[in-house]
This record gives sequence, structure tokens and C-alpha cells, in this order.
Amino acid sequence: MANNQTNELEGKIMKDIKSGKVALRSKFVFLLEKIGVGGAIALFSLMAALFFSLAFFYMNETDHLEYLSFGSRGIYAFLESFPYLLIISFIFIMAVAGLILKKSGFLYKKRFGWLALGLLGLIIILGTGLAFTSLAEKLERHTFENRPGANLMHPFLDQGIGKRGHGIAGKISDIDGMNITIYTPRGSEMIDVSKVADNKVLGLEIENFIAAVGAREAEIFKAIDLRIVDEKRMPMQRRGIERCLRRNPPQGSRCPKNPQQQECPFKQ
Amino acid sequence: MENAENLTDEQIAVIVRTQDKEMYSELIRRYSLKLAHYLRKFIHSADELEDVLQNVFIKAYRNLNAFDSDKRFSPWIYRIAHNEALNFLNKYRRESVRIDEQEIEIIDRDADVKSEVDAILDREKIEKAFSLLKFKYRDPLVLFFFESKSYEEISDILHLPKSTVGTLIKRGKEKLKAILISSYGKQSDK
Repeated sequence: MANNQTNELEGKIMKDIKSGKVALRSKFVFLLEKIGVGGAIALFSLMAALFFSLAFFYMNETDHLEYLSFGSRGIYAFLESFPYLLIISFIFIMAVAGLILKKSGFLYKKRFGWLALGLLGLIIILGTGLAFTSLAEKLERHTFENRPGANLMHPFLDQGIGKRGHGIAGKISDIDGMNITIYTPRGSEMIDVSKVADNKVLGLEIENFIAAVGAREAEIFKAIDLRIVDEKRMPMQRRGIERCLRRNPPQGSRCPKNPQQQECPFKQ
Repeated sequence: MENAENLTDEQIAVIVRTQDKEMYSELIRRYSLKLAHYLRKFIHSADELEDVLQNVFIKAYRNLNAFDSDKRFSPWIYRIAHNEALNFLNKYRRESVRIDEQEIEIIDRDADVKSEVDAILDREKIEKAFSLLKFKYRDPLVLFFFESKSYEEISDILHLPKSTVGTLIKRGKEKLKAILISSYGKQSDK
């Protein structure tokens, strides 16, 4: 570039600067940008921690992990009850936080991989810590008691007490030969235990909390395996049953069979 | 106006944003040739290069309050030039490289391909080989060989860790050599 070209360029630029056509951007704009970006990273990180804690809570409090104890027979039920939406949401939110971090300039001369791992570690620690507070349980209560804003969380938590094609869990309310009636968060359901080994069926009593695997045929669940579980292992199911029973106290010994008529909190 | 020649770039930047905007002309004088030389590795046409260069200085002025005066000014403005060059290439999709005669000697020496290449490495061949390199290799190579920037400076300009800069330069040289040999390599059987 020749000297005269340089002078010409200098002249053009300085003319725009002196006339005010080109002006300095205020330093407050840059400060706000930094606060905004930092705030966005913090917000998405907190959301990721929340979703992680919800996924952790879900796995600990529902029947999901119980189906693994049935071995290969419980695989379908395990996969059906897996919290896909919670996990996918967690991954998506993490990805957004990582993208903002990458684009923000916070990574100036730093390796993205290590920072991303650090952020993931922090989120997991925070999420795990949150899981041990009562936050997730409060969210669950808020959702299933249909308080304001409950609609937002329903898609994530409904699956915890939803109907499964290959697994079922609940509290025995009636035993009638090879048919058992159980309370579930969705109302009463019937299980046909004719294919379950005798030694597992003979010891059953009313009020036992059970989990079973098999297949659903119309309105009856045909079990191939079943076991008595401590209801403390499935607190979400237990709370769902309690909510259902509170709204629809049993007449005699039976809970109403049709959830639609009896306004069970869980909408199918 | 203070005697600008005795001031560092960083001092001038602070004066421009706090006291005397006319001192910005000193920064333009100091950097227009250097940045033009750098941008020629991305932009072929003289007119387009001048437009991009003007945009670089305007953008640098507008964002001067974002410049951290504890850091060096040179990598900061080179980064703006780098981004403007990429924006230009993305917009007009014209990938070309312009290399001086002296720079051909640098490539000849550093790519070390003399013994393996049949043809004389003239400017056109090297420019073509360079333009075939991906940006992630081309950028650090250009800054290191043609702009004589250190790894530290390249790291500041491209916002990459220093170790990554070294790796990219090493791989860039290997890829450039491979392109030159595959395009102009000696025939094995004669």
C-alpha cells in the first residue's frame, strides 16, 4: 500500500471520526454485554443443574430402577420408564451453556474442553446437592396438585407415575384368586398373576407394595414376575397413591376403578 | 497534541478514548501498512482490501472502550482485521491468497519441498497451494511466516492456547508441503 493511499485512508477515517459519524461505543455497553453473557451462562448452568437434580430424583424415587432387579425380564419396563425428556433437556441446556461460553470470549486463550468439563462437573455437583434438598419433591407436589405453573413440569414428571406397558407398581388393595387389585397413582388396576411362580404369589397380603413385570392386555396387566418391595424405594408412587386416595377415599376396600370419573390427579 | 511518536500504541489508545480522538490518526499510520500486508493474504483486489481495511480501523475506533489497556494493542487490532477478513470471505466466498516474491523464498525454505517438487515454485503455485489450506492452518501460518508474529502474539490474535498455535503451525506446514508435492511432485518413473 503506497504512502498516498495510506494518507487517503487516514483522511477518510479521521473525517468520519471528527464529524461524529463514527463514534466510540459507550463503555457501559460493553459492561452490559459482559453482564448479559455472564448472566446467561449462569442461568443455563442453574437450569442444567436443576434438570440433573430432577433426573437424579426421578431415578431414586420412581419404580424405574426397580425393574432392573428383574434382570432381562425387566428391561422393557426399565426402558419405558426411563426419564428421556429430563435427560435430553439436561443435555440440550448444557449444550446451550457451552455454546454461550464458547462464543462469549470467556475462553480467551483457554482450552474449551477443560472448561466444559469443569462446567459439567460443577453442574453435576450442584445438581446432586439439589437432589438431596426437598426442592424436587416440592416441584413434584406443585405439579401433581395442579398449582400455577404446573403445566410446565408435567411433561417431565408425568412419566414417573405413568402407565407402563411392561411394568407396574402399587399397593395391594384386594386379592381374588389369581387376580390382584392394586392402588396406583392412576387409580386401581388389576394384575393377573397366573403366570407368576407360586412361591412369589403365596406370600402376598393386602397393603403389600409390589412391583411386577409382564405385558398389558386391555385393562389387565398380565404379570410374569413380581416382588414385594419396600414402599420407601418408590416414594413417588407412594405419594401418587396417597394423592389419589385423598381425593377419592375408598368405599369399603376398593378405590374407584375409573380415574376419569373420580378426578384422579394424574391426567392420562 | 502530545508527541505521538514517543507514545506506545496502548498509551495512544487511552488518550484517544479519554482526551484527544485526533490522535487516532497516529494508530492508523502505524498499522495501515502492516494490516494491509496481512489482509492481502485473504483479499486479492486492491479496492476490496482498502474497504476492508477501512472497516477494520472504524470498528477498532468504535470498540476502543472494549480494549484492555493492560494488554497489547497489536494483537487486538490484528484480531479485528482477522475477523473482518473472514467476514469478507464468508460474504463473497472468494478465497484467494496474495504472496510477495520474498515470501515465496520463506515457503521454499520452510516447507522444504525443493527436493520433491519438479516444477519451479512460482508465486501462482504457492498462492494456489495456500488457498487450498483450511483457515485453521492458514491463519497461524500467515501470521508466523509472513507477519513475523510470535506464538504468544498469534495466541492473542486468534484466541487460541499457545500450544494449539504450535500444533497448527506444524500441521499447516506438513499439509502445505503435501499439497505442493501432490500438485507438483517429481515423477517417480521416467
